[in-house]
Amino acid sequence: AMECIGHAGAALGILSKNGIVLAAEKKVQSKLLDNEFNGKHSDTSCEKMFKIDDHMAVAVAGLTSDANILINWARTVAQRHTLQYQEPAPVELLIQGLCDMKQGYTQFGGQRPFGVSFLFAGWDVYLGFQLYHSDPSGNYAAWKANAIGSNNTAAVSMLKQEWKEDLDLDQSILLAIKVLLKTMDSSALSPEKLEFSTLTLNEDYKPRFRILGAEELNKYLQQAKEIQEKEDREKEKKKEAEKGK
Amino acid sequence: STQSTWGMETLIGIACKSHVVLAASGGSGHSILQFKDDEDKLHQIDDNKILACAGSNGDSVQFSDYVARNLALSNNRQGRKTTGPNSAYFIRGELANSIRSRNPYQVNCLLGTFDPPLPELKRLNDETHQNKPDGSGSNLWYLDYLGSMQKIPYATQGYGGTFAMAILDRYYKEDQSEQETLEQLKMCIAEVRKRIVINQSKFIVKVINNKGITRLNDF
Repeated sequence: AMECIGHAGAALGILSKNGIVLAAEKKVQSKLLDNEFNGKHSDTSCEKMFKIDDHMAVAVAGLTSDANILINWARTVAQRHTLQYQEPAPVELLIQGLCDMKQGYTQFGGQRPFGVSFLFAGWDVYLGFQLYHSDPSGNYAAWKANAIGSNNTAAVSMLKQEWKEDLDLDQSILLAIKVLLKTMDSSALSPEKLEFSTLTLNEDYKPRFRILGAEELNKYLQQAKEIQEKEDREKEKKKEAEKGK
Repeated sequence: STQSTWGMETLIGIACKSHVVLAASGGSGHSILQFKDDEDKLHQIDDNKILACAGSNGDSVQFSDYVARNLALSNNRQGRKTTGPNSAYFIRGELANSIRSRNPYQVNCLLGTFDPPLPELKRLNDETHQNKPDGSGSNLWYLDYLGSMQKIPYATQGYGGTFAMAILDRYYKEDQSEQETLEQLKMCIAEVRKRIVINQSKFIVKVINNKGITRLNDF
């Protein structure tokens, strides 16, 4: 199960002080793919990202069919909690519930484990913004930034270097673009190859999950490109200065 | 209900900004006999929550223990205390399920809590220098055996409760002091003793405030 995830499209998540960004590489890219349904894209899911509840979302790497089962289960767990307690399910509790189920499949009944890795982004009144990673074994841990899927080790080491405590949401999006550029196969990024979503808080302390549209994503890609070019120029200048010495 | 003393036990709850006061009649017995006059029906299910249960003798203890242990389990699983509303909705859910079962719990309850602020909301308030509601403060819920639940400033259970409600309607103010609340409680209990046939014996009184739960001298 872990093996097949290693070949799946990359996904990464970054925690910032005012929100969480989930970014993913679309594995299936084709002009014929219809994601925008007459210009209006879905508010709850796309190829790699899914809304679990108003305050929680996941990015997926691995077998999509397995992922669907787990996501449906997570959505049910979330509503079951809200039915009984009239509050959004605390993020960690929901993930524990999901991981307990995944663990069951590794121990009982002779079934095979779910071939999916998840990156959960959530907000609750107890711990604020949280990012969790869970794998087929049912293990989970909280992260400040993490990546799953193909080339995730390269992505994680890059995140380790570049992640800072005081990043805000926009900077996190740009960081995600930077990391994906390095770890994805393509040399240039365009909205057709990517999926970006954010979990933020509005003024009334209400969490909101949004999948970024093509136009908005383009703006960030443009910004990232300019920053990268600027950095490259400065590197060149430094090199010239060193040579001169 | 199966018990002939249904409604003869009085519960009174008063929630003000800085405190919640709960009182319960101490009588406990069977048919015409009263075994005890100082039974403590104000079950402390957490260090800031009291569930007052009246109704069937066995059911009330069974139910409050069940609630308390489930909430403790939840506390241990999540590494933090349950919030007041969380507990209230959980209890209501259990009562609602119970009434639809073959053998329902015959208990009427009052739940009083005094909650600390929710961590993240408090942090956001501090950060943005605002004073939005952060879940802290006093709460009182009326819960009955049919599964109905209402969050109200003052509530009662039992026949005697009707008289207490009238007095509280007249005198209750949200921002009154603990002293004033206890004065009003005294008036309520006096009225219950005067108007209800059965001997209402002692009343056990407990206060929940920012210091925690304190049992006062029996009225």
